[in-house]
Amino acid sequence: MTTQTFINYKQYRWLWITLIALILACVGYCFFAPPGGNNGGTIIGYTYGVIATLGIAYLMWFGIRKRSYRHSNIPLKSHLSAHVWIGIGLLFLVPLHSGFQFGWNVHTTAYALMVATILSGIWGAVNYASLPTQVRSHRGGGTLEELVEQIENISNEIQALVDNKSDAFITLLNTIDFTFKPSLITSITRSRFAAIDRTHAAEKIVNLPGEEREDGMKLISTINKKIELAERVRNEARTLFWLKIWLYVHLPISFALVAAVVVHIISVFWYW
Amino acid sequence: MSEHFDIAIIGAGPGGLGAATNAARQGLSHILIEKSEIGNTIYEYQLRKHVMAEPTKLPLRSHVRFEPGTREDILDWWNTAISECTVNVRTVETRAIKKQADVFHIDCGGQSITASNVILAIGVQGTPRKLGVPGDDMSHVAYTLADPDAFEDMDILVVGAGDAAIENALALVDKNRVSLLNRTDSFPRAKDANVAKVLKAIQAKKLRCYYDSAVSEVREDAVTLTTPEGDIDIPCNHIIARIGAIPPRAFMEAIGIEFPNADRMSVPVVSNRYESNVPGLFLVGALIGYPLIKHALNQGHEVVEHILGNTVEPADQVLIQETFAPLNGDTNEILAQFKTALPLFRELSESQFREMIIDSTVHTMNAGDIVFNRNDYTDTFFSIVSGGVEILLPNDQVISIEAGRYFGEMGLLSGRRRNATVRAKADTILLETPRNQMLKLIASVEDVKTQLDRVFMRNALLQSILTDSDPALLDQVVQQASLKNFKKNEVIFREGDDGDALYVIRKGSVKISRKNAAGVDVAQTYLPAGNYVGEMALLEEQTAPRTATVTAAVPCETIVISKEVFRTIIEQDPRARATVTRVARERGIENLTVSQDEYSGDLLEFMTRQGVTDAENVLLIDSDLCVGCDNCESACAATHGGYSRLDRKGGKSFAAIQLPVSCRHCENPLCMLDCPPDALRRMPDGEVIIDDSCIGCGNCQTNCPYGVIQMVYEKPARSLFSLFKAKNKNGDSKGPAKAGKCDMCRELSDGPACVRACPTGAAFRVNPSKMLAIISSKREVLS
Repeated sequence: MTTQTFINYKQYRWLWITLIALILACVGYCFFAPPGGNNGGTIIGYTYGVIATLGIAYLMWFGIRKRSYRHSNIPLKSHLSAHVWIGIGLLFLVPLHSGFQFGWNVHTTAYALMVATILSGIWGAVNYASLPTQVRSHRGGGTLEELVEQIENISNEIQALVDNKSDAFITLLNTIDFTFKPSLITSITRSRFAAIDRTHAAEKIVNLPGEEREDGMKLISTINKKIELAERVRNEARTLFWLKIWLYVHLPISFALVAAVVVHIISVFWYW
Repeated sequence: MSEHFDIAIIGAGPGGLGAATNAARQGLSHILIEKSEIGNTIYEYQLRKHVMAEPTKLPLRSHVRFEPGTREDILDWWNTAISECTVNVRTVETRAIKKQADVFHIDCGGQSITASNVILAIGVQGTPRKLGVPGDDMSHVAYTLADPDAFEDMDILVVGAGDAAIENALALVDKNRVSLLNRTDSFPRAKDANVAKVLKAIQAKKLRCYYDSAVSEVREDAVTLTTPEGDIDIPCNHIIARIGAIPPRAFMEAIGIEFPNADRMSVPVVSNRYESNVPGLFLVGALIGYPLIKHALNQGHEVVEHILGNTVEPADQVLIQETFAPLNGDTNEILAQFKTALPLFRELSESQFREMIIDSTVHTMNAGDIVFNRNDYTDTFFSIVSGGVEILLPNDQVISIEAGRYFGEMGLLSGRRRNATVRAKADTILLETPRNQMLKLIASVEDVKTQLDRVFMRNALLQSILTDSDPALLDQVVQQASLKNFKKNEVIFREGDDGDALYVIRKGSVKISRKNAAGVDVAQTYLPAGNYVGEMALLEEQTAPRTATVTAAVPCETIVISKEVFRTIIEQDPRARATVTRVARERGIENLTVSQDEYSGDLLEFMTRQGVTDAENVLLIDSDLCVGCDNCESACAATHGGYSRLDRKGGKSFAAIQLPVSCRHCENPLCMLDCPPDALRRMPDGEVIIDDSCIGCGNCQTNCPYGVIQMVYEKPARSLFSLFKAKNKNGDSKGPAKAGKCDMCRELSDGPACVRACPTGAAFRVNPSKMLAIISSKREVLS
């Protein structure tokens, strides 16, 4: 049993529907080619324009459908699948509508915005399909808040180890301990936290007075635990960030796209 | 010189008030004795708590006003009634009651009161257990916490390790210096969620916990504690002792009141005049199993009429008439007919029988009408008043049951679906009784329990091993078999032990585990109620070792059949022998082929530990697909008055399966155990729901081991306009809080919104039969 995701929903039903529609569109494009070449003003141009506009309307409606919870026997997953594949399809349908005429004008601006919206959508779809397996907190690893709390507890443990220790011990602590303030920026920009390896640890322990060596080993293993947790927090925050951030791009451009399409349609009829 | 009264009423709760006001109005010499406040249980509710007046249809008889209202309203009405009727109230604790030659001597610590009749209306809450050390009577020693906000910047000691102590301590930590005193070294009695919270607070040094310690002395601003490190003094301005309550049973038994059995839930039997086995001593309210306020008020009122020798038609007569509406004839005659027709209820007191009838439904059926179908989720109990029914077992066997017998008893034990279809075979009158009512009777009437136990065993054996046996053999086995209960996680038998008995699981489910090559115990599978375990080691004459360990996954009830009895069965009944041998062989093959990898064993173990195997319908999230958009929670909130009944992040997870905090509609719903108005019900499709009669008592929330029930206020529908309106300053005057939990969106035709609203298909619902398939498919994906 393979799991049905929003990508392969019902054996890629919406991919097939989109592909067939695009093939028909290509055939229509070649068959009805008027002398002087295709453009948005031909019958084919208008037809494809209307289809593309309806397509965009359907894609925008997803935002409403996602929030209407009461009635529908079609699961949201099915609509998301359609949203993804029809969206990608529009990328190809619209050039057919315009007869591949592009220029520095409001019409091409609308197309550019559409491409940007769809590309950001593809980015989101890729993230949705690939990132969940990396979210550790789903896998019994504790939520982000719990991880941060564990780090705080470990800091307390470290504090307890350092009490009444020699200067050498404090120096060791200062060289290996780090303050970890979890923040989105650091989680995204920071490189990996690397654990202290065994040889490295031994070198540091040698400098301690004899009676503190055992606590020194403990300190290093505690710091290593802290490093591991910090690394998990960083990973977790980063993954969750990428799962969300694309929407903040996708949504605003999609609204800009709708505005541009309205301007495009009005201006076309204005200059009829 | 002692004062003498016609009637002494102990306890100024609703029962006591109903009696006292009536006695006062009738001009009887009376006294109402109360150790604390009038309506103390309500007095101790949180401020402005809404109190319901169930059952709505029951008329109120008393001189005391009572209708739905806030705590303050009700206390006001009750105190007004006391002064208007000029009730003689005395605030003093009753220590003991003795009957000597028709006179009751009431010991109130120094004051001696005698009475000809005593009405005991002390409820079942009990007396809070005291610290029992010098200084425990000082004013800063409390046994409840009504308003945590009243405390600030104080040194507070909370004594106890149960949920109440933990919840009180945690409610106070933010504004005060709080210490918790624990007699033991852990928190075994508290709910897991509370234990986690308290340990966290202790670790974060918000709360100081003294383990293995006790209070040895209370002083004005300090206490002395006995700790493992010796006696210590700590500063303390307030003490809250939450060390449980002493149930009133011992007090009652000391007077001479008899209880039918040792069961915690059992209540003493009273006559239809509410008189106990001690003549002149009357019991009302929760003491005799009526926890609702209106019942208690009415009963108190009626008792006084009975003492006066007046005939009183019980207040519930209208409700009895309602039950008997489908039948023609005089209500009292029908009532008497029912009592003679149903020997199961022969030992019930008049009031117990009436209560049972009121809760039940009468069905008149024609030959061929279906009572219920196999796989229905109903769990009611049926008695055949006249006519008869046929039980159509899945193996095409038909069992005929005549009038005076009963069926549907399996529903009382396990919340599983009906295992057979039942149809009327002639014109039949049936009495359908709800599960809770039957459970109450089983707990309080020994005879009902004994009669039912026999039938349970008989039917369980009939459907598992002795499918087609000689009735004589069946009876013999029922006689020799015994019942044995196992706690959750208790081992029924261990791999390698000598096999000595067979266990038929009649309630709960068990986990089967075996040691793998590395000697690690790995969970293999689980078996629900209706199956049996332990047959393999019994098939041969000589002693054989157990081939697997069987552990109770949830609290289980089993029928134990010893090896000798089992040998008799398979020697006398070749069909039984063949069935058992076949099952044993199939299981033997399964043991050899089921993969012994620790991963899938651990996943099964996780599922059992989290109670998933006891779930009828559980929401799981495939975390390989979940993008964390929380649309499931939004969908739940949008369809349930603004409150999500599921917490996606809150639950536990194992590998790629995440178990959100959300109702699993358990096979044995613990939430249903203690619901005063019986508001929790299982619906025909299996979902457990809370209906509108919820009184917001919070029992279900406390009883649910999975933390899926919250007390919620209906959120007013918000409109744009309401944002501009001035905020309601008096924010506390909301309606009553009611218990809220997942209802599987039963009002939506398309099924649970959480699953439909998941954009990636990560959220899905499963029932136990699909569970193993899910586990094995996950195993394939992940291995």
